[in-house]
Amino acid sequence: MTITYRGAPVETEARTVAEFLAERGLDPARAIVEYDGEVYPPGADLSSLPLRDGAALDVFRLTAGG
Amino acid sequence: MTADTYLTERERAALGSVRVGIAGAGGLGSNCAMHLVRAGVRHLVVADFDVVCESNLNRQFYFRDQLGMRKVEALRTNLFRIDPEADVRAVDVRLDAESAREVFADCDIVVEAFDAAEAKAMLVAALAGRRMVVASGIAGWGRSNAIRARGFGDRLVVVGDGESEVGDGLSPHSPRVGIAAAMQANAVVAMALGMPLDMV
Repeated sequence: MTITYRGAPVETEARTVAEFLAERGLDPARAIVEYDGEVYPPGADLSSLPLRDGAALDVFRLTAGG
Repeated sequence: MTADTYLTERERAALGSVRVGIAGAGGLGSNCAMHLVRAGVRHLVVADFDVVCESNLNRQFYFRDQLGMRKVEALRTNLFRIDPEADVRAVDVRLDAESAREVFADCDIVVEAFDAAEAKAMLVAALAGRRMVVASGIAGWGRSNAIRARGFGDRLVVVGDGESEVGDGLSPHSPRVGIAAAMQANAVVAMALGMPLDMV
C-alpha cells in the first residue's frame, strides 16, 4: 500500500504503524508518532494501529542533546 | 513593565498571564527561558537538578562567575536581570513522570528541554495530551534549515531536525542549540497568542 510519510508518498508492506517503524529502524520508545492527526507518545502501543492505504504518518525521533 | 516595550495591550496581557513550565535548564531550557522573559512571559516554572559547570558555558545562559551554582538559582538570577518582576519558580529536582506532572500541574504550556533522549521520552509520555513544545536533533554545526518547528496534532509542537544526536561524533554547540531554543520560545509565544499550530 501507499501511505504519506513525512509529507511524501511511500510504499510499504507494513500492516501496522509498529511494523512501519520497525521497517524504518525507528525505536518506538524514542519517537513521537502522528498518525492521521492523532498523536502517540513514546511507548504507545502502535501494534494495535492498522496501517491504511492513503493514511498520513509522521515520526519525530527523540535524540540526545540539549 | 515587561521587557518587551513593543507589545500590544493584547499581547502583553496574553504573555503576561500564561504560565510556562521548562523541564531542564541546560542549553535549550536556559536560552528558551531568556527569550520568553524578553518576549514578555512573566510566569515560569523551571526545573533542573544540576549545577553550572565549565562545559555548560559554550551554550547555556550562565556566566563564569556562576560556576558551581544550582542551575535553577543561577537562571532565576539572570532572568531577574531582564525582568526584576518576573515570577520564576525554581524547582531543584531531577524530574520523573510523577514529579513532572506535579511540578507542571498549573502550567499552560510545558517546554521539554532535557538532554537525555530517555528523559525526553519520559516527559512527553508523562504529559501526553498537554500543550507542549519538544526539541530534538540539535547537535553539531551547520544545517540550520534542517531545524524546523511543526505541529504534531493540535497540542504539541516539535522543534529540531529530529535526527542529529549528541554522542554520534557530534557535540552540542551554541548556534544550533540556540536556534532550537529560540524556536521553542517562538512556538510558546505563538501558542500563548492563540496562533494555530501550522503557524508556529
